[in-house]
Amino acid sequence: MNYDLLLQYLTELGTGDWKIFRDGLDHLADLDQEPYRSMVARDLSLLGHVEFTFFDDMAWAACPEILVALPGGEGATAVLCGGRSQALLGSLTAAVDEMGANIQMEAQEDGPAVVIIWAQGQDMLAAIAECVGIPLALNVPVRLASSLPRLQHWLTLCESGWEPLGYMVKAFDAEQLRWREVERPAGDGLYQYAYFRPEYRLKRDGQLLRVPREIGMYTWLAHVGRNVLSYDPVRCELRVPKIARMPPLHARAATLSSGRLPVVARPGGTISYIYGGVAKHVAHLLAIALEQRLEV
Amino acid sequence: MQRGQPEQQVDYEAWNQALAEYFYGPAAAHRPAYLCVDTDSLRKIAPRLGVAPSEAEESFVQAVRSWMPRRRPFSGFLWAARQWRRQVQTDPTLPPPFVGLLGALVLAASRMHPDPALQIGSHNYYHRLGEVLGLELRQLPDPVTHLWNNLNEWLERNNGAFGQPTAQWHGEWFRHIVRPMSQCLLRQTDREKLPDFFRWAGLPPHEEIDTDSLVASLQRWVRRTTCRFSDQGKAVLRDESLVRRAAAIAGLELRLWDGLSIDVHGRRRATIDLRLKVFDRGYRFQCDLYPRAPDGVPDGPYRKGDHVVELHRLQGLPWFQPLSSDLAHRALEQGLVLTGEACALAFLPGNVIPLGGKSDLGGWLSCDRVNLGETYAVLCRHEHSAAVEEYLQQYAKEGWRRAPGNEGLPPSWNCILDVQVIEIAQRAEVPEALDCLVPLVYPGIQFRGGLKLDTGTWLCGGEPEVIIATAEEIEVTVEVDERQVAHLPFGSGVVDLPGLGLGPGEHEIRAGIRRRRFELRAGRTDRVARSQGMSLGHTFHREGRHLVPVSLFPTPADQQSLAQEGTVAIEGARLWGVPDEPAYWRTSRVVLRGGCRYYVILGRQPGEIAKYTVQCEYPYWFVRQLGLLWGQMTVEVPFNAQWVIGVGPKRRKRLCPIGIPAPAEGTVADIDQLAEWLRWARKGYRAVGGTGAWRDVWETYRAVASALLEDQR
Repeated sequence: MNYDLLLQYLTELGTGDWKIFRDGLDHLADLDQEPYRSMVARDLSLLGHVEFTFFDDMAWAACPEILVALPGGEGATAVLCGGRSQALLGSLTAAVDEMGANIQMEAQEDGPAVVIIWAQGQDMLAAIAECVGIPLALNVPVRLASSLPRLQHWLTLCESGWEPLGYMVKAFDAEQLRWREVERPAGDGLYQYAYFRPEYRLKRDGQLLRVPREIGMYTWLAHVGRNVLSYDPVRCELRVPKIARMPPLHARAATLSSGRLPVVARPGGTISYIYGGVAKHVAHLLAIALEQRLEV
Repeated sequence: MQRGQPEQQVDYEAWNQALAEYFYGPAAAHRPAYLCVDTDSLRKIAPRLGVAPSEAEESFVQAVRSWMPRRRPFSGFLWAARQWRRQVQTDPTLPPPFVGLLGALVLAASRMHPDPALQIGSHNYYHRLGEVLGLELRQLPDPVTHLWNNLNEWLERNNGAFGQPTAQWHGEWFRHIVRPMSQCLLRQTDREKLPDFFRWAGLPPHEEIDTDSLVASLQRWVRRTTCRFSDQGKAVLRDESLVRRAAAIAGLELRLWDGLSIDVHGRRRATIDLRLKVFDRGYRFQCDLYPRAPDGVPDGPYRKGDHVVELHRLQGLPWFQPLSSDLAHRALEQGLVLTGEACALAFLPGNVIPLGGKSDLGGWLSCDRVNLGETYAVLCRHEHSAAVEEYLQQYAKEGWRRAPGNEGLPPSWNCILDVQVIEIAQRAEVPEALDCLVPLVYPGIQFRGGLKLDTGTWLCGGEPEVIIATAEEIEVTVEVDERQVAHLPFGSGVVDLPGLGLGPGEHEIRAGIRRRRFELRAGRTDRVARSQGMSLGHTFHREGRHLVPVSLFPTPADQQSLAQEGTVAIEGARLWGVPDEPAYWRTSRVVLRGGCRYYVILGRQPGEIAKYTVQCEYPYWFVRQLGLLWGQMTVEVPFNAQWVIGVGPKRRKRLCPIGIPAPAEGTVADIDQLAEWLRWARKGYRAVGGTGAWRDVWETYRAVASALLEDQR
């Protein structure tokens, strides 16, 4: 699928409802492969291109264009985030050429190409950004990771939920990291209901909370003391089991460490998202925000 | 015609008022209003005036005639209309005094049937009008016909509170006749069944469609059992000269149709949609029922027999919450009707059900009819499977397949996947059960899909498909910008614009005598394309050292509110209110619990260290013996404190995290304090506070300290 064209289309429109996004995606999707729309939306959000909300009516808005400096490496490297128009790409290429830097479009399988700029130093990056008329942001992963509220604060926003009974119910098995079909919810735990979209309820201390999947999952993992995040300091890789994917903002902090979507792999038999280029302290900050102990 | 005299004569004003109340009453509000005066309606109205239904028509006719002097017979109505036009300026709700007269014109139109004995043709309007009014007329005076305009203006002036005007005429001929006929051509009972036609034809609510396009579909529908029109209504649809006028009425009704229909009990009825989820490439299925929730269908209890279902709208979607899964199986076998106080919801049983894939509910959602070239799943009963497969072999694109399993479906049903009908059955006698698999196309050039930017404008590279159809089924050559791109032998088909490699700019597509223009745009010319419109951002408020989210999801905000002081906002990769070196990290208050002789407080950066010794005038051993060391004190340190190392009796050391400690950073904060920080940070402490969950974090401090010591050496 042509994700670049999709991003260009969303940028041209600026903002819209879910139907516009869905129709655009369906138009571009390969005939033999139906896109998993919410996953495409999540990927665009992780890369900082488009924000999606499910607050009232489902809506989206293209994010402001910004150059995000990547940590580490020789010289200075940055990726282009936010909306992406042809005109912007043209002027960015011209500015990069003029400054003697390099630009490359690196294709991704499940998302728009990564626009990477290599410059001799941060000053050069700042000059390119100024020339194009967009800001340059430094230390985005660590700033984002250190700004994330704690799980308990997210939970205060979750409303007490009614139980959608009469639908297939699954309980989250924190030990095995899998959903287990159950007759009916019993005792504390995280439950998934096969409602019109999957709905999640966290039962804890006599309370029933309607929670987003990721918040509910990490709250429950912390409750039972199960740690799922691991970090490889040699490769600078953060590994997160696919079933326990991180909340969108946490995942964005990890994604913007490299500007690339995580790779899905199977290290140690568990299907996991592997985020590359994540600094150790960012991994620690994310683990702390999710009340996890990072396995190094 | 011989008529008996009514027992009691009712005056014209009373009939006028009764007609106005009946046809333009609250029930007609915001709906198309027809002044359908015929024998049936007069019989219904008569009891309100104390007239027996059998004498209704005669009483009405006498009342109208009583206002018509021999010379200048319409002068009384025209004079009253003049008076009314003045009065209605101050009271717009005042009903027109000529409703009765216009009703008489409609009554004459309703009697237009052939009479071979008297050699009267079915088109002879003035003979029937003469019968009603007791006059010999060759033509109505223009001022009388103009009263229809006055009626329409009155309805429009009241913003549809008394109904929406329907007596319209756009041609040059038969202006006196067309409007009375338009009011009674289809009776109310037939008009109420038009939603069945819209559903059958797969027409969406509020669609504006060319009248001519509906003619063929109406003629086809009248042959189907789904057409429940009265015999008179069916006769209209079968009559070549009347069906166009019926199509005009259907077109008007479609424009105002809200997606609901009227059931046999007079209740407004919405549909219940079936959603199908397919698992394991067609081995397993899940069926759910989603009642539609259009405006006007309230939340609340709905009944099926003794069973009560409480329905509530899904947030932001035009459906109610799904019904429980077991109901879906029963509904597939027998249908399902849920009745509320004023509305009903129905899933009508069928033998073949197409399900489309473009819905916010995910999975496949039942629809009334397939569209040309789109992909569907098809549920069908076993006994119809062979016929469906035979049909698909002829008219569908290769690649459809029968699902290998049917777990989750009722036992007598199976599913066919990846169905894409690409040809229209050429007048073939398709069995009625399979009618929903025959796409209906309307003559013309229609654009479908694509990356649409504006009306008639698409993004370059996201060109739409073009659907071309002709009513005549004659061969058509399709040209884009005068270049031949397709040849359609039966006049209908899909043209793939994306494959033509068109560049930005204006283009024209031509199919036979029809042509349409469209524009392809490469994108905006400004470099930063995003407008100053709505932004979506995550916003957090600061509460002490913590950040507290405002909402679970990003909320709409403008750039000013995102950049508000005291908040942190995240919009894509842009962070507002989070400086590179946040000042609020720089100082912190630490509570030191008693029991130790002195304390070392560490920050995350090398050099961030502070020491506090318990101040006491007595020797330490003495104080400890007296137990005076217990208690607590609060100190403030000029950095974000992460750890406290308490040094207790016999120089035993205890490491405690402060809240959730952050990992160490390599950047030196204070070179003067570096050696001291390294001294304390490189040690491994046995007793780590809490559960020891933060030992890994402490290890980052040791690693940083070791690395710096190595560098110093």
